[in-house]
Amino acid sequence: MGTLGYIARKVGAALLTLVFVMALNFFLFRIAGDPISQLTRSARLTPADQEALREDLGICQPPPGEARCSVIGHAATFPAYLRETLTGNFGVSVQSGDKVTTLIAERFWRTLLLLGLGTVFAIVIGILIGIRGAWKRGSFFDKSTLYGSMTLYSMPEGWLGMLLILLFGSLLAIFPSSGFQSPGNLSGFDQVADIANHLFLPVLVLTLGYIGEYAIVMRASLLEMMGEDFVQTARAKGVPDRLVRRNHAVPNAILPTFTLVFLSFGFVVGGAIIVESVFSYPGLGQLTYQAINTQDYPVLQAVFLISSAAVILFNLLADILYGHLDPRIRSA
Amino acid sequence: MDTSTTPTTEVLDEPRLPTKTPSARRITWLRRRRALAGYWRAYKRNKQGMIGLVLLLIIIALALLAPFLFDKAQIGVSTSTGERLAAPSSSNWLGTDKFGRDIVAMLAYGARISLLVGLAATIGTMAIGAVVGITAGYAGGKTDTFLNFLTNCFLVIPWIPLAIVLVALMGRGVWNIILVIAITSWAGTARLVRAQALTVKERTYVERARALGAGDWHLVSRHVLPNVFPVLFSNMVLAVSLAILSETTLALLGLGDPNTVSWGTMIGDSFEAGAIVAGYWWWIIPPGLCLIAVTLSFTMCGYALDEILNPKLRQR
Amino acid sequence: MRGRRILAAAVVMGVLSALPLGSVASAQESPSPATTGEPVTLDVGVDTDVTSLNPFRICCGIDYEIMGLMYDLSWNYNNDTLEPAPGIITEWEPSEDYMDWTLTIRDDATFSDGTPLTAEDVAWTFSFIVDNQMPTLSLYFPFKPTFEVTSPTEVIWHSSQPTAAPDRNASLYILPKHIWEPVTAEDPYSAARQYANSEPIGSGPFTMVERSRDEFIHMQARDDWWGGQPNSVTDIVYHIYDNQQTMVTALRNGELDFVDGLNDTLWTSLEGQPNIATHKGDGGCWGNIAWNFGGQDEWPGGPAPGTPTNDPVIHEKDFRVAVAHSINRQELVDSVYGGTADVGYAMLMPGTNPSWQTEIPEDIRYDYDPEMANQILDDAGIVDSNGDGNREYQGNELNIEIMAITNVTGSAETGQFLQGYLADIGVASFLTNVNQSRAYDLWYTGEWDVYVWDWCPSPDPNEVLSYFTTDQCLGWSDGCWSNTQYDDFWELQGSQFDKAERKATVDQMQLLFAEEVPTMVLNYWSDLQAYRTDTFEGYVPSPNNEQGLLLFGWTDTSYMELEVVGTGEAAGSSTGLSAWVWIAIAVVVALVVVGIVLSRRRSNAEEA
Repeated sequence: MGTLGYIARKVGAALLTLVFVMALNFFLFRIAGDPISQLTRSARLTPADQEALREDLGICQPPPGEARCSVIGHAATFPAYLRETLTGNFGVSVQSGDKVTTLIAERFWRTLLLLGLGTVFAIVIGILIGIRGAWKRGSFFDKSTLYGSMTLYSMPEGWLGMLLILLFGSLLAIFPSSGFQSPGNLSGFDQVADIANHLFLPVLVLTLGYIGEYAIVMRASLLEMMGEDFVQTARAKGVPDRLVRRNHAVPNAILPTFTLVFLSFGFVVGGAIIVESVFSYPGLGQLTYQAINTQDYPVLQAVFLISSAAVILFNLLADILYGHLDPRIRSA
Repeated sequence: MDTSTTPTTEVLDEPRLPTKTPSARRITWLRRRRALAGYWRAYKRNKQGMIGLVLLLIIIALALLAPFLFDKAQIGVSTSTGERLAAPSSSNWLGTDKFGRDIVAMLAYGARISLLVGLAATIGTMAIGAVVGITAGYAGGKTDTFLNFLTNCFLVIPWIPLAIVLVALMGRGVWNIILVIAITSWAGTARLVRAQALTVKERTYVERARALGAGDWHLVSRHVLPNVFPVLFSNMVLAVSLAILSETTLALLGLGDPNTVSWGTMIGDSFEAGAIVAGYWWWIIPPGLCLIAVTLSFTMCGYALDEILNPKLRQR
Repeated sequence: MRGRRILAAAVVMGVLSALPLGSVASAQESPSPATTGEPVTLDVGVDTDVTSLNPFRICCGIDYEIMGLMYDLSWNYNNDTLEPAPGIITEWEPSEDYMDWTLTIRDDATFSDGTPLTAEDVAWTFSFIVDNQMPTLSLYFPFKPTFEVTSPTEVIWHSSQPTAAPDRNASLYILPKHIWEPVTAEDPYSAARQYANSEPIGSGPFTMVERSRDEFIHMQARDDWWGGQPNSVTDIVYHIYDNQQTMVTALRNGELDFVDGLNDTLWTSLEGQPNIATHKGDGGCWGNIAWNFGGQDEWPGGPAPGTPTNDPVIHEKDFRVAVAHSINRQELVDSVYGGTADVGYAMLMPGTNPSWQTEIPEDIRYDYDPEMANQILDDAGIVDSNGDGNREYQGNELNIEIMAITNVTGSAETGQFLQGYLADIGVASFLTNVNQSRAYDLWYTGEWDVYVWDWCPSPDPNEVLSYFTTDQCLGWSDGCWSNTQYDDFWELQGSQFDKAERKATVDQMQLLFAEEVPTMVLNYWSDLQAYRTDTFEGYVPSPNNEQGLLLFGWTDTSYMELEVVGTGEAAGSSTGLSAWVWIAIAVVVALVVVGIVLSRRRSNAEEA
């Protein structure tokens, strides 16, 4: 019962959160401005056209004599929105008329690739630095990496990206500073290399941007663990330092770090928007930013929902993993 | 919080034998002063914390002295008299931007806005977080369930999209940006405070106080809040850097306040203009370095405080 | 133990995760090599992707460029005057009474799928637009005309009233009837707007062979276009950049041959760079400040009763003239646009409307003269009677709300200058910065006094002149200015078939507009372009004058005329590491990881 009940509880909470996010999405984007009134001016729609468009897009019809809907009016369309969303219909982009699912499907893997590579590199390097720093606390390595980590952590990603563009793209002209691939339908290894070339700078920025945080957290977590009784006891018993570290301290210290990795995923998604727009990387972050500029809210809602759902999923995984690894949590 | 800011329970529980019998208020005051002096001694030993503090004081001094050192007209788009995009020279130490504004003057005045955004947004974040966290932790029951749910929801909503929509909705004023940062970042604090409030609530002396008939307000203000404060405080110092970085992120996305000069909007403007590729490094490098300096100083202070206020880390 | 295995796994995953990519990209369509010989590619950098490939949804700069290459226009533009020139329609003759126009259709045009283009396609395209009142496009067809196909090369335009519309740049993309008719069989309006048209079939000189949204669009020259093949360009690739800095970097590195739509800072920095030339062309739009004359409270869903909307002082012509005198147009050009825009006075711009130029006399240009501005206000009785430094009107302190639109280039800065100018003449103001969509909301409810925005005229003056008629109050009009004389002129120019007569009426309208300043023209924007001189030469500006654009103009002339210089490739034009280097890196990383894991395992075994 214990484990299953725990998981069921967590999944239930995650689903509830998802519904909350959907409701927030729905109302925020409708309060932010009625896209139909905007189109009215730029495309000169007759009232009949507007009505048709509203029906197509599932936007509330204002009552006769009014130009826009009240909150209650919008609320009435929420169940329909919920139904459509749950059946995977995100509607069409107001701007281009393309299916939102198509737009997202094209970009989803690119963003996943960028974020995946960036976070994995940041985690691996950050954790290694953190472990070494904590173990050799106060050494030159520790001090220099700690200050280095803090500096990287303090650096705005966009600014770092620009410096790298100047260095690698402009001065050295080694790596392309924009896009995901070159035109010309490459295939095989050439294509992989082409994409790797394009990924180099954005992944580097993401990695550098998040190394600091992970290194600092890993270091702090390990330091804390080293103060714990069982580590002290093991040391007192004469177990070699290396083994104490490997078998007792690190495995326990890595747990909170991984939780942080999962929890900070929301920030990573945010970072993707900046990095993708700096490097013109055609992913979901870029789509989000463009959609915000053109008030294309079927697209926005979908991207928002997907990124929130991803974060919720990661949190759920973190909870379950944590509960699995540390049974004490389950009863709490 | 005015009568007891003693930062840790350890100090509170410490038995003391006064030679005379001074008033309770005086005891509290003495205890507080001793504790603070102790923290300051510990802080002084923390090299990283001291570097951060000195750096921070320099930046604060720059911000405070800005009106005495530079003419405010020189940072206005329509009032500046400098030559457009002039390279660093004796008259403009760091050159000018595309509106002929003096970069050094902009950095000085920008420090005020950046610090304002950082501090005000943090205070907002902390206020919301503390109220929600303490209420949830202290009240328990359905209130806790609901507030905890709300906190968890806000924790998972990716902040940039939410912030962008809110800024679009409310307009691009500095205070709106501050509000948006506070609204999007209180959840972490609330969670932290709630956890702390829960542990404090269970402590024996709090239970004792309640048994003695202490009211809710007394318990929260005299026992829960003072004990939550250390966590809140070190968290707060770290949150300032996050808030300043958030403002920069919004500015980079073209959502800064176009009527004010902050380090964030300087970076945003120079980025949009393409300063670095166009070769106007003096427009983009200095505000970036300043931003690193200010966030670094707050981070360093924050970690130092955390180490001191969180005894678990200090014991080694 | 646990921790390390996760780490090792993560490293390996990091290396290998680059591999499954093949499947992502190979899902794209394969190339269709249509041309023989070596391809000559013109690489163009732009800062936005096309809005849509559907001609009924397009809105902005690059949309027209791509569409113009894929489709033929009913009427082309004369590259000198921008007046109608033969396109798919080679001759157009009115009947005596201007009720019927005989259009002669070219007989040698074919669509890219091989189907010949005939009068049926022209009549279908025109009728579809008229019957379904397609937004904007239907404006070219006043009085709901009908179209009769009399032969494969002849269409008759039947109008219910005398019209000169066929002689007024009704330049529309001719769509293939055999594709669009089935698509729009049911619910034509919505179907036409929603059709993705992802593989467009047109009769233009180029076809689209490859597209990746927000990355690039690859166009290829047809070898069977009626107008012949381009001199040397066989392929055009438009590369899309969100970030202009990377676009400029690519031009400098030789990855691009041409860039369009640069900001003034980057453009200025390119002047004098080796092998790069810069060009300033007509941006197609004029920046303006527009006054709100109110009346929005009568609109459905307008402001709630009692909402403060426009200041009544705006109705005073003297006030508007005084504000105009307080504004330093040259300073705005120099400071806000870095000197790249031009001071402007009239609605019709030299770069877009070369044959509709009206000289605005000095006395109604209202040039910068703050003293005169103060004098005019004093004389009009708009004075500061309580000595607080701010003028009053009808007993109320003036406080003008300036709305600046942050997505519009220079709007926020112009707003700040305007605030200063108003202060100089004793008028208090406050500045609200909003994004475009918020601006539309505020515009609709009338909660503003003056805004800083822009207008972009088309070659025929009819459209831009119509924006300021009373009828447009709920449509395009900035602030519901209403002037019966102006309205009458607009009706008149619509019915004048003689070009000289019409020009005289249009002149009158421009003068009236300048004199009354309901909306003040401030400056003509530029489209800033740059190109490499070591790859292609022979760009032809469109229109062919100082303000013309080298690409993205009104005609495709440059693409046809360009000649290769040298090899057509700039030195050092490819960046990135080759596949072999990446493989080497992957192998080294994998070896290191395996080495670490093995050595750890061995040492563990020893210790255990």
